[in-house]
Amino acid sequence: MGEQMLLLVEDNPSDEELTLRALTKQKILNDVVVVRDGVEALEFLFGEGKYEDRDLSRQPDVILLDLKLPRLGGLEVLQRIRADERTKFLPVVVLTSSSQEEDIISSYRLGANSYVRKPVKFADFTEAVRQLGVYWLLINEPLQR
Amino acid sequence: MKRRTSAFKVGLLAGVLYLAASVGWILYSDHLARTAVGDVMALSIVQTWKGLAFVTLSAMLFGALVWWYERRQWRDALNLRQVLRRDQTARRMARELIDEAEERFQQFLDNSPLLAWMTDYDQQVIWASRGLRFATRSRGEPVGQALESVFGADGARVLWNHTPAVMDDDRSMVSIETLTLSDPDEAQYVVHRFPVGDGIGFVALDVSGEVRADLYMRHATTADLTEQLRAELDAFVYAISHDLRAPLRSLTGFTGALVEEYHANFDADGKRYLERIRDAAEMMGAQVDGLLELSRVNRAEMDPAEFDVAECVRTEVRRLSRGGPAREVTLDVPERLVVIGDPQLLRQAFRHLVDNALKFTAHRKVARIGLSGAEDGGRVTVTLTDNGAGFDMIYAHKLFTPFQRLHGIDEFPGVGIGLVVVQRIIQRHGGTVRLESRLGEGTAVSVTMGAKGYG
Repeated sequence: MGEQMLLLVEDNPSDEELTLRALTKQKILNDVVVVRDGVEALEFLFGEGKYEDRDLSRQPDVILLDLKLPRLGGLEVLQRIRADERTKFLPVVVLTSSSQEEDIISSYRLGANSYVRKPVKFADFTEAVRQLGVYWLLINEPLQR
Repeated sequence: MKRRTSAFKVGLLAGVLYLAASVGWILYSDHLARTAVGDVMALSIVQTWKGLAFVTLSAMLFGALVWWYERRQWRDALNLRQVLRRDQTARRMARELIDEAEERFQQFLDNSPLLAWMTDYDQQVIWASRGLRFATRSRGEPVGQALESVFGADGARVLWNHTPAVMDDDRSMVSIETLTLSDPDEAQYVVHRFPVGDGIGFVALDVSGEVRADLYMRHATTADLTEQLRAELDAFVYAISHDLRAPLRSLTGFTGALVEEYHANFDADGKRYLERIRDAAEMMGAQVDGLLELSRVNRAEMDPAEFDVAECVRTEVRRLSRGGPAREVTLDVPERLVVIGDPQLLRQAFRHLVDNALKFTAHRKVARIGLSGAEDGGRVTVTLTDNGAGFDMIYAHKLFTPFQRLHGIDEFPGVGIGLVVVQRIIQRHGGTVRLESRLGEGTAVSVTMGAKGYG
């Protein structure tokens, strides 16, 4: 259980903290990496920039990806993930405020594994994040490489 | 004048010559007779014959003169008659040409949509085209009447309005006026006024159709603009609502965290305040979601198909009662009730209606929900009834305003957007929503829309 890793791509500090809080409360979380924008997310995944020394053999078990991000947007990040051999089978869950149909369609077309709209209600939000953690980290069987 | 002078001179000359001849004859003939005849007795006989001869000669001369004069008179008279006859033929031909032209003009005028008439300077109609006569037939023959009797006081006023200028400047004047030629059909006319001889000519052309077309065009443009503004407003509402969700999440999230984790640090009032903040933020979140739903409904593409309201109501009742507490619900829904519309939007509308029906019957031991349909002249009315709490009809209109609620939030939960969404969806289908309710007895929501596929 100790090896699970989750990558949270989130620019809003409040959402980041609330997400982390919901994840830690369930004690299902071992390793969470938080990046604040799309560029940083790609650097982490491909071991570039400040993540140069990262061990690329260990990739996250799930990526929680916001769509509205500074520099590089979530949809572009998703596209790059799917385009690269090293990351194309990584589970990506789009976790966003948007409920615009175009965003949902684009996300699935670019290969998102799931699309979750952040609920405003505290209990709903906590529950949504908890279920995501449980499913993607404990239940889902990722491709081992 | 000259002619008469010469005739007088000729007459005078003839008179003088006759007088001179007569005087000469009288003087010399008597003298000659006396010389030739010595006997007094014979002389008197000669004198008698001489007198007779004179008178005879004079009579002959006079007769010749009269004959000559008369002959000339007759000749002239004959000539004149001939001339007259020729003249008449020419006139007849001219008349025929004029008649023909006039008839053509008359036909032209009768068949054209133009109304034409003429008045004298005292506003008295002195001529009117058949078109005008027909149009104003309910008011009698226009010729001989005042403008006011033919066109009414207002009509006469606007018609005569510019006429003094026409008379003064000898030019035509045109304007668009509203005239009532036969009650109560008023119409817009382009009216020309122009001087004709010793009066004013009027020509009027009904342009109501064109005016209507113009108004319609303007209206259509306004409608386009309204639609455009609405689309922009929807986009704005969407963006704002969307952006509000993030800070609201922080508010609910952190107050939630406070309530959960620092519970012990607050006294009863502090806990209550925290819960108030959290509830308010969550309410606001629900309202924002309601606005988002409304703006989505406004912008959604519509794809009409057959939609079975009965099946939808059964499914939604089943779905919505699943999460809630177990309770008895009696459904009175027909086998099939098909309308034509966008299935997704209609499902959304009836989900709200079923949700309301279940919500407001929560306090009943047995909730009764009924569905019925009726068709009238190509329009179908679908009515959903419940035996719920109901409301006072004087507040009915408020329910179609976002966030208007008629019950306390702790009595029946909700943000007050459902019926607004329902109304908007039905309006987009060209229909209407009507509410009938009795406080404490129940509510009936009737949706009327044009649908051929009922049955």
